[in-house]
Amino acid sequence: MSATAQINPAVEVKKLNLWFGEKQVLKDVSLLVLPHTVTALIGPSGCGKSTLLRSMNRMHDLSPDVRMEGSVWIDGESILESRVQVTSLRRKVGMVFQKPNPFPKSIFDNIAYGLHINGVRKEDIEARVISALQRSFLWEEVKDKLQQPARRLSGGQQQRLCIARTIAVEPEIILMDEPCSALDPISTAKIEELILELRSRYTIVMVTHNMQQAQRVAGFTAFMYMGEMIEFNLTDNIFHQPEKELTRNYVAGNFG
Amino acid sequence: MNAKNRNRYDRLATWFFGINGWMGIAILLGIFAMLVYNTIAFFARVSPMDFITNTQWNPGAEGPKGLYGLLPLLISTLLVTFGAMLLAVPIGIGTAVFISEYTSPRVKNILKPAVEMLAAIPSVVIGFIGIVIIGPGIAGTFGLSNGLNAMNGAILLAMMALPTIITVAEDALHAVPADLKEASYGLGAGKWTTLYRVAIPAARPGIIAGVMLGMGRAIGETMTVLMATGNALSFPSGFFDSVRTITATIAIELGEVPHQTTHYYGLFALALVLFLITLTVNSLADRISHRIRQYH
Repeated sequence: MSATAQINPAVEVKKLNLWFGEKQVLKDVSLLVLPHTVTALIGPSGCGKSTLLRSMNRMHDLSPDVRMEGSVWIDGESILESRVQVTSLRRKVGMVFQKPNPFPKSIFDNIAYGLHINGVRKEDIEARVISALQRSFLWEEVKDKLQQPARRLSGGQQQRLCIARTIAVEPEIILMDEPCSALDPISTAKIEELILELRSRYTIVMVTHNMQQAQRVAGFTAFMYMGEMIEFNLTDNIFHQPEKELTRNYVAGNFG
Repeated sequence: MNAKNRNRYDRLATWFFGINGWMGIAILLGIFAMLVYNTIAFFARVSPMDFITNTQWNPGAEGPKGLYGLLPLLISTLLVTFGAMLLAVPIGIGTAVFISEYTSPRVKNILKPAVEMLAAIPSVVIGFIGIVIIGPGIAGTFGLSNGLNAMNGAILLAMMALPTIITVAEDALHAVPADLKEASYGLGAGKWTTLYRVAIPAARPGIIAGVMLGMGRAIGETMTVLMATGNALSFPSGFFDSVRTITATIAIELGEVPHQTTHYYGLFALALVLFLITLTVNSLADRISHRIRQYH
């Protein structure tokens, strides 16, 4: 990966250790995410991939007994330090969750919420809501029912709404925590198509259980096991010429 | 157990629960029918118009005719209840938010049972507190000769409505899915914004239900207001007046009144009014919470 030397990484995780209480969940994890790429985090359940993802927008701040060592760098800033303003960090690093979680508000208000709290002027909100819906391939389906409750949409539509909500505030990085695990194959295909589209504008880090999905959408893949970063490389290399025996066994479906 | 026995048990269970269910409904309908029946008997003697518009409740006056004006009692009840809500709603919701969002689990485990214990204080004890502490306190603070007035009742009823409001509202806030709050934090919202714009709106049906339940408790409360509001029969003009609520009137007079007299029937008419108020409050609560729930 000599090419990485010239490009500033979008996210750089350096020797991150993380404990929940006494239990160490991440062990000396390092990762480099290049801008405008999709990076997939794969590994068996409990390997720490979601924990790693959630350290990138400091979601762990919400858990009381978490302890971290090491650093995570975004835009040349070490974001785990307490002086970092977590609200502005999360503006820059958006997140899409495993289960679609639209607010119990109308479709319009779901997207307007993030704009409103981030100080977008009232007269600009409508245009940005529409633009976010268009860029999430949802506009055609909802343009006549923007005032209806978001919870009436299908699961796949809800997840695209959640993506629209995230991109509406124009983050630089989008974290996705198994965004398709609750969805049917057709909705999944639509989200994957959307992820590929979003790559040109955003840097995406996604956790996935689905190895085909990683191969379809991710340029880079990181394989984690038991809290450690086992291997990180171009997706093609991880799946076709893995360097480690463990990786080979995992991507071959021998365990997981 | 063979098949025949199982069938018999199933039939028995069907009967058992069926009888219980119908009995509960029958009792409720029976009470309602009794209220309506006696109210009709009352309106055969006193015109409904008089009942609603007369500004005096004085069954003993003017010989057998008496004055049966609902208004002073109704205004007393509403005055005390809304005064109580004015105090209990902000304090109750504030406490619920504090317990649910701002305390450590350890503090919460102390606070919540403590609040629930407040509900276990007998109303006669609350009334007692009103007579010996809060009433004199009000009299001293505002320079009144007598602290047994509507404000005293409102403060006490607020104390009694608080546990219900806090408990139900806190449960509702606690039940707001964590992923909704995470979604809000994930967009860069702070704690207050998330609370105000996501958690509280999502919990609104439960919060409203808690307020309504607390209000129902306040409207129907008898002993406390009987002890602490002075029970003056004059038309109330404010919180510093002594008042006599519908409940207190029924409690005071029903024991003394000869049965099957106009006065006796009149008390049932009062009870029916009370019943209709609580019914309205409850169905309103139901409607509101239902309308908001469609966004869930």
